[in-house]
Amino acid sequence: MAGTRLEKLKLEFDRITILQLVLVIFMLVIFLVLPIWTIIAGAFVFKGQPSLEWFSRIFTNTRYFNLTPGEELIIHVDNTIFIQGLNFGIVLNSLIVGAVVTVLTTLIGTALAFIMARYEFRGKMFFRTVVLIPMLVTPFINAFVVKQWLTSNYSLLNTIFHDTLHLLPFRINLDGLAAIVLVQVLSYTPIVFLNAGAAIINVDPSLEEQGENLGAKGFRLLRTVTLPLALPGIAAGAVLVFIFSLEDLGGPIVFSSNFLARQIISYQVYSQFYAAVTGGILPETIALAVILLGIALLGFVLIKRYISVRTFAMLSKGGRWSPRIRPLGLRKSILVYPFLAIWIILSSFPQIGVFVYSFANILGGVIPQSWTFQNYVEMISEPAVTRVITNSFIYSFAAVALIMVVGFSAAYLVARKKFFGRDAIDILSTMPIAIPGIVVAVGYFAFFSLGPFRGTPFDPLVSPALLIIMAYAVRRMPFTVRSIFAGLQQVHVNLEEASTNLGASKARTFIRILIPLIVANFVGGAMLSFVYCMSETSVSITLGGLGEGTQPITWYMQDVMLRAAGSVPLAATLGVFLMIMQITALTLSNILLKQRLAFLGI
Amino acid sequence: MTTVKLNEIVKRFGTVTAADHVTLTIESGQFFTLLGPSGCGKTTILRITAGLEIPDSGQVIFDSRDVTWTPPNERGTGMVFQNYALWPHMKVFENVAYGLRVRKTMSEDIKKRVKSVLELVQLEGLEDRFPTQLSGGQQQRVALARALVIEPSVLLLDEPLSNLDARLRIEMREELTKIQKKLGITAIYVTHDQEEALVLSDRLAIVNKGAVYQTGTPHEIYSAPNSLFVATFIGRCTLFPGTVQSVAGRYLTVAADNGMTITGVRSESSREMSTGQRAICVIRPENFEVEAPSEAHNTLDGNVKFSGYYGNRVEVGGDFSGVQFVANLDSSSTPKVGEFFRFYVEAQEVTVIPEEQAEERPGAQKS
Repeated sequence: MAGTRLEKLKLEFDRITILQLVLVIFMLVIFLVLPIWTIIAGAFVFKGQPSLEWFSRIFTNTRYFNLTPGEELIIHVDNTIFIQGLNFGIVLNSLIVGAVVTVLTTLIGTALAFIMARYEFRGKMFFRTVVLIPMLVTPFINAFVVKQWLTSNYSLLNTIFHDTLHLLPFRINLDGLAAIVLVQVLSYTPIVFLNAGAAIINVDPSLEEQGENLGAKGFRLLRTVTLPLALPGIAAGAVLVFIFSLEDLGGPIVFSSNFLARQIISYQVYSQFYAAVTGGILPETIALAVILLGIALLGFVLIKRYISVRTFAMLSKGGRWSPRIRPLGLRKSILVYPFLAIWIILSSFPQIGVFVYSFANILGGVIPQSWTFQNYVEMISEPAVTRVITNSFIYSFAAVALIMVVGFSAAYLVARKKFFGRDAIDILSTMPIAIPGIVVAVGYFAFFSLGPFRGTPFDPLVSPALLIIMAYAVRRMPFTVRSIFAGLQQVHVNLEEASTNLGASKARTFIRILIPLIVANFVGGAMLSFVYCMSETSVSITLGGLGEGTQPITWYMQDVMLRAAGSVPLAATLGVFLMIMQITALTLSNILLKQRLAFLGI
Repeated sequence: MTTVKLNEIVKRFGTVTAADHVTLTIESGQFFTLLGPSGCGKTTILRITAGLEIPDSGQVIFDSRDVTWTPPNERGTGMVFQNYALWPHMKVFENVAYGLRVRKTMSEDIKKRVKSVLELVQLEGLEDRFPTQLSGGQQQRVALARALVIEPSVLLLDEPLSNLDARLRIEMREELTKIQKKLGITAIYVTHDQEEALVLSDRLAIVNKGAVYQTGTPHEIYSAPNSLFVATFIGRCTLFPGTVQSVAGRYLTVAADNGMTITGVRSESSREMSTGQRAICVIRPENFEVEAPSEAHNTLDGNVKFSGYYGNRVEVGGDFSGVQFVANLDSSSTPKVGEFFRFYVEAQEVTVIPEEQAEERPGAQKS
């Protein structure tokens, strides 16, 4: 029967399937599993022996864990209110910032989603669109705008409202962890908003009507029916925010002149990165990276399990699915309009500020002296800037090409084939969304520069270009995999079988039948991957900085923040450039995929 | 045209056996039906024939060629899927022409052949429509045309009519047989609708739990079921469990558990029985008569509990001392509920099947 089994295997695993498998496994193992494994293994070794030494050093050091911060949260000195947060130690600080950001974004995001899903009011389309503005990623420069407004006694806020207009009785100075929390809440609320919105819209209205029919109304109905049913979606958004907060580098770097802002895991790992280039990476730093990874992955795994258990089948069996949209009454309008107005002003001012700064001419200080198009001219003519733009384009295009091939293969294998290890491919190809970028960067450095690839084109010290491409591809693959997987679920396998039955080879079936049917998912997913490659931060500013002339856009923007080697308005112009690309891509992908970005969930 | 042989096919999905040593021969040009309840494995057998599933063991043979390990795209079968599987991004013409393009047919020839097959299924003029612009019946015909145009060795039909409404289903099944006979093509048809199976097939196989219970012409299967499953799956019947009292050639006399004595014949495909063995007598509703026939017959007295007028017949139900019965009477008869009725059934019309076959599947089948 051995012959039979071989024949059977040959039929089940034709050449294309094997090629796909090899590609996917090669990519995931070499560029995800092994680098990550290298640092995990490294963190558990002390003097050549397996040990928890580095972790116990971290857990017993008050630098990392400090339960007695011994300061005041709000310091009131000389008519100035100074808020920077409390120092509970690096690890706890990260967790506290993450938790506070998660709670605040969840409250605001869910409230926004509920208003949009359940009420009809004038200007709703406008508000619904504007609420998404913070989704536009402008690394560093959005935090920089917040800093100009709120940090220091001479901030724009104090200058305008205290010194000039005398509306504020005291000065406000927000810095450190508190400022990071603010920046993150402003940026990440749309993630909860989108996930919660999709979840609320998916609640079968007849379930709420049944609740009303039994006498539940208003808040009780919300608490007992709507929220519990929408909870999996809200929770997915919340966990994603928590992970993004943990791995955020933009906020901590921009506010890094403040001591507390540096007391964050992601910043600590980042700041040790360059030390690694000359020496080796401190095992303590690696252990810290492993803790960061562990927390993020734990969140990812828990929420995946929770969602699979708690995702209720809510297929309406017949009947009309009439969405429960009510007009907003006068009394509620008085609450809703001011809330929306304050929120959109607050949440979009970083992006608006980026736009404003892109036209600024700053000779000294932080306040623009005049307005100019010079920054845009420089963006397309200044060799240092065109260089980083070209680099980013090359990296992103190459990464997306790879993503399309490998991502399609992974999605296809998971959706259509049964084999040992399928679940592993499923998890590994979507997990990078939860892996902090700085961990990927450290892992790549440890594996490719210190490991067996030393001196090869994969060694970032030889040239980081190849590794940047691979890091972009791995980190941004989940968008495409999820999008294509969703497409494949819409295409009945019979459509492929009908083609095979009529004599078409597998390649022909892919090209003529399958890919045309999921082309929207292909392009939509690839565009998302592309714009988030262009704005990728963690790997770009670490590995990206290792070579001369190979740096991408975001590295340049960070360089401006840290070293003042370039001009802030020019960085803002690059931010506008990234925003325009994102708006274009997100709009197109929304049209193609006919859905509102909900796959930014887990 | 092709003769299809399935030899000892076994296919398991996890713990479920979808094909349990299936052996079938489908003669060239025959319209052969696999009939069974949903989930019985009939679609799996069809997909194994097409090469879309790979059997765990056994052989698939087309004429004398063993195609067990031939990939589906090299088998030359034409399959019509239950959901039609029309490609929504292609117009009718492109859907039908696909198989010809794969075969690198000249474009002039493609046009000619697509045109003629669309005429055959009466869809001329709809070449430029997309599948979504067609009705269910039209989609079904496109699927059929797409399978036929490549002149397949075998036409495989997986419940192709199940998504159509009742009237269209009857129309289409008549057309289907016409086309199949006209082309003289070997066809394997899967359905769970017993009426469809009886009307369409030259021969059929009753499939249950992955195994073939009985094969034969529609008449053989209906009139001489070899097992309780086949008897009850095809048509309604009255069942008398009992013990064999005497055997005389093919005739058996059974002492039924309710006290009645019934004489019947053994189904040719069921196994021999001897005195003292458990057996079940099966009587179809239309075999009950109210006047004594001249042949050897059984006399059954029953209490009528209900009657229903169907236009062409009157159906009565009730019990024979504890055995529930259903009988069809002439539409002019006027049985009264509560009345005692005397029925006659010719011994020829009573099928006796061994009881132990009631649960287990019958032995190896010849087809």
